[in-house]
Amino acid sequence: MEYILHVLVYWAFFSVLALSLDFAVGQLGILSLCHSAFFGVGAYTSALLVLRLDAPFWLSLPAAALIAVLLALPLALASRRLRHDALVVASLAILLITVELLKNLRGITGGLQGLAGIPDPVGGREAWICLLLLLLGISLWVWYTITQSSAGRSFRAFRDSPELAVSLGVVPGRTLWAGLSVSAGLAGVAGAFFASYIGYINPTVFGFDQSVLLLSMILIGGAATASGPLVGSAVLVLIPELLRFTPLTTPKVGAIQQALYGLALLIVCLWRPRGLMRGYRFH
Amino acid sequence: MTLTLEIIKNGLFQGSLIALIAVGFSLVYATTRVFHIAIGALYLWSSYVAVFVGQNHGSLAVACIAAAAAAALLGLLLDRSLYRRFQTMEASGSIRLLGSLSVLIISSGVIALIWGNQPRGVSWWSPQATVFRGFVLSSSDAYHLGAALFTGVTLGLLIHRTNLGLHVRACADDASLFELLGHPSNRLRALVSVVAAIPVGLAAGLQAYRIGIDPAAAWPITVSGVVAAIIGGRSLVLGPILGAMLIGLVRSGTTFLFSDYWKDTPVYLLLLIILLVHRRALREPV
Repeated sequence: MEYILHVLVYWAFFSVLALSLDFAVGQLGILSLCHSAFFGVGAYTSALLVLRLDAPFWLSLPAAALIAVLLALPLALASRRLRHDALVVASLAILLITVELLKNLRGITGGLQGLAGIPDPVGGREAWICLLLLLLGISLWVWYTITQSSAGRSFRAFRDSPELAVSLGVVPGRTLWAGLSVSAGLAGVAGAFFASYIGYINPTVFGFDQSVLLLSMILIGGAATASGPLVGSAVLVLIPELLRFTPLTTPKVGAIQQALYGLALLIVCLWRPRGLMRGYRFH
Repeated sequence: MTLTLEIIKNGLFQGSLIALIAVGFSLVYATTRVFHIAIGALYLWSSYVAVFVGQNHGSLAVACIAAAAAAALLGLLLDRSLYRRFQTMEASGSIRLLGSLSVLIISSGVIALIWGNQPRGVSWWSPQATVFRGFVLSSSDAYHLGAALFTGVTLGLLIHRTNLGLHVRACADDASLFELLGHPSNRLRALVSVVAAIPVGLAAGLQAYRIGIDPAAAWPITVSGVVAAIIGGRSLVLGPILGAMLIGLVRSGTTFLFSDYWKDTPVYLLLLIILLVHRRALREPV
């Protein structure tokens, strides 16, 4: 039962992350590879406040969201100026720079050794699953509210045709910043919860593999849909868990996971561009 | 002064390795408009081929030739199976990039599954070192520099002095017009993918000679090569080589000024700055 709850907790975490990424990918059309950077800085912000300043966990949440939102600024700037593969590469560069800073500012972040002993504010797996399902519910509510609003329509207009959207009065800078702020803020909050649930974080958790995994969840599930991120995260969370029942060692399980994520991404790119839930198709 | 020259020397030798990757990337990207990040996969597979051939044969030259051949074959396979499909689908630049990236991810996973993620030393080769006017020069550095010079001269002559090179430049400038004039672009791209992969295999073979296999090192070398190619602009050979030398100097300087931990950070920062400042740093998708 503990194991099933743990898997559910992980699914809930990744569903929240995937939903937050959908604002960038599905709504704004930005194939961002730096989403795990927002997740990571949120986690580190919360962990540092709790560990170094003895701040209450619940007060660290807005701080985590704020720092993640600030990190979204270079991506918003890049989105304003770049398109297509140039924008994807720029998002990758932002991720790599963030991870390098997390790895090398050892006095603050602990470097590759990370931060350990992050206190659990909730206690008990059952309490965590309730909390995360609540967070998922709130994320879904935020997703629906924003995507059904005029802001959401502006996002999609900008995604489909930036020039036409501008001619219809959509302000590109403000639209991009709004969408990416929500995306990053939600990811930052998820990061804060993640740090407290696991009790230990290090930079490798928030690296390139994680970003590709999140993007794959969106593309596999279907971008610009509410169910797509949830289905995508279910698919890509369950597969690694099923591998644990095989006689393979942990490093080999990790290697297979990596290969499967890459394969899933390739299949989506080539044959199922709209994902399982038939979401937005990237041209 | 000696220290400055030492930093420059180290930077140029590092840049030599990066130049081989950069040129390979630049040629494929220019002709296919695929952000050829899968070049890292070619590098990875070639390095294992180099080590295993060297283990059985004991010759660095044979190992490098085998690595180059393996890279060429993989490059051709990649072009025929994936990149050509992207052309047919008229896939967007982002999808092409993600497809190429997925090849690198799959390759990393498969290699880790088969051989593990740990670096492997090569005990039967040991680079020789000599001291020349106070500078330590190792044979591996000399081979890197020689390979980069050889690649630069050969490919430079090929691109700028032959009919084939003319076709490559024409396809790079305007692939649609190139096809409209009746030139077989698919065949040209396949040939370019083979030729571009050879220096990558060479780089993998030489690096295997120097430090053995380090799967984790493939990623920073790939990114450095890509950044060097972007810095090089529209030039197919000379630009990437000069960009690579700049990257090498940046890395060497950073190691001296800060520490080895920080050597990749300025490269990534440079990539972001170039993309933001020079909006047309990457070629327009076909």
